[in-house]
Amino acid sequence: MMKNAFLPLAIILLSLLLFSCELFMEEPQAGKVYAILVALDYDGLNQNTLAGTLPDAKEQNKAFTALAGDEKYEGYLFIQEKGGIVDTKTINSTPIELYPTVKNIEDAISALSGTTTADDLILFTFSGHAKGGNIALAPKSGSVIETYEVSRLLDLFSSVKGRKLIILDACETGYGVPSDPASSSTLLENSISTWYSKYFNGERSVKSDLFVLTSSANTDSYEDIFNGKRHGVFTYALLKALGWNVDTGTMSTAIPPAAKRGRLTVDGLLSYIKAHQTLKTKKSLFKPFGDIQHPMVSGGALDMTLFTF
Amino acid sequence: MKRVAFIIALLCVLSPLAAHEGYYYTLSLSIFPYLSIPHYADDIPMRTAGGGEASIGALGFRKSHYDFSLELRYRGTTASIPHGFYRARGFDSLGSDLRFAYQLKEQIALFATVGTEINFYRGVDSAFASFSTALGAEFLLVENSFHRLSLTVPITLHLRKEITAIQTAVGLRYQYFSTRDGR
Repeated sequence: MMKNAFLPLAIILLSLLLFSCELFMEEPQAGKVYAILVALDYDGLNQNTLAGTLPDAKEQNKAFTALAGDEKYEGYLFIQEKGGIVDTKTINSTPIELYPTVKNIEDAISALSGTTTADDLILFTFSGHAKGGNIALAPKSGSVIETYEVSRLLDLFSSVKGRKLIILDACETGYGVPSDPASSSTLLENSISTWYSKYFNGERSVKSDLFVLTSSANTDSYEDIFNGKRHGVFTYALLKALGWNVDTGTMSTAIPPAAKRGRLTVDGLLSYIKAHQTLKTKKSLFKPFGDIQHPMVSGGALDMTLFTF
Repeated sequence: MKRVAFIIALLCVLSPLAAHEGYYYTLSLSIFPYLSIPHYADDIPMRTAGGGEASIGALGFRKSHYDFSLELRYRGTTASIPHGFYRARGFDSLGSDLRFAYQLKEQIALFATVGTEINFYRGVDSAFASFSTALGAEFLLVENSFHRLSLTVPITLHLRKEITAIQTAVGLRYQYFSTRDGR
């Protein structure tokens, strides 16, 4: 009898091993890394000032440079600070003013869309104010901020070739995370009937190369002081996840702590941030006392690799 | 759905009170490779992961050549082997199955299950519903008046909205009959 059982079993296991596509198909090589980093301190604008946003963007830029390598990295820092000098950089032969207005950022993304390839990684970070899935950008003139829908930003990025990761450190940015056709965020749609209705709603899934990682789902996002330096709570944990030492302003030579088995993925970043950020996250059974900030990532069946080591 | 879960739990609690001839409790454990075939365009035709499954049943009935049970199931599926810039996310599933088995020979039975489950992607606060169906063979290893242990070899289709996955498992199924003449 045992012989009868083991024969089909052995055949099944052997055939599965042979069908493991991952072992036999060639993998693409990673291309260049492009980053658009946007930060506003709102000094001189009609919003509360934020002291941690500019250090957040500047240090993320350094961390990404170290991860990608100087020769494979192009970063564009869009900074709004009172009295700051505005640089101009050329992206794909288009001169772009590095000041975070809607037009400048849209121009930069459009310029990138003509230069990237499918193997490139494109990063977009935002540190500032937001509400209900709209981010607050600088006005062309005057002091009244211009709100910009995250969905519009994502639409623009859909025309850019490559893997895209949008990182938003601002309040309520979870509302800007696109809804996945097959799965639901348990932070925003925590209902079994919703999950079943999604199964039958007829919306087709596509493989997404655009991921969104946000500091919070539907709550505020906070700044704090870390060893005398002000940072967003989320970005501080993100920098640590990348291997950046905020205290010394240097990059660790070791593999980033959020990487697993030589791969730094979007889910790896999220897990590390949730485990290491100084604010509590939302628990499913017990609501913690005090402020909570629960990072969120776009749904779907796949996790995306950012860097390999 | 909460009402359905409550009724299933209530039946599980009350069923021992009605321990008649042929009723049994069961615990099943299995491990499997998990091949997910996407319905969308992917870099490779399928992604390979692995997993394990545990089922408990307090509503089992066996009579002559036939065997029915209602089981609650946990299934853990790992993330897939990374390929290129992507890997399939791992997830945990909680669901229930209706199981039917037919005894072909003294030591061999064929069985089929249909079930549904809620799946939670690990670490990313995201959930989805799905359905499962399986066909398999069951080989009796040992038995006595109260206990029965079998080796199971099911092939399961995990019917997700954007993916159809094939699991080819190997497992053990333990049955405990509360009455001696139950079989």
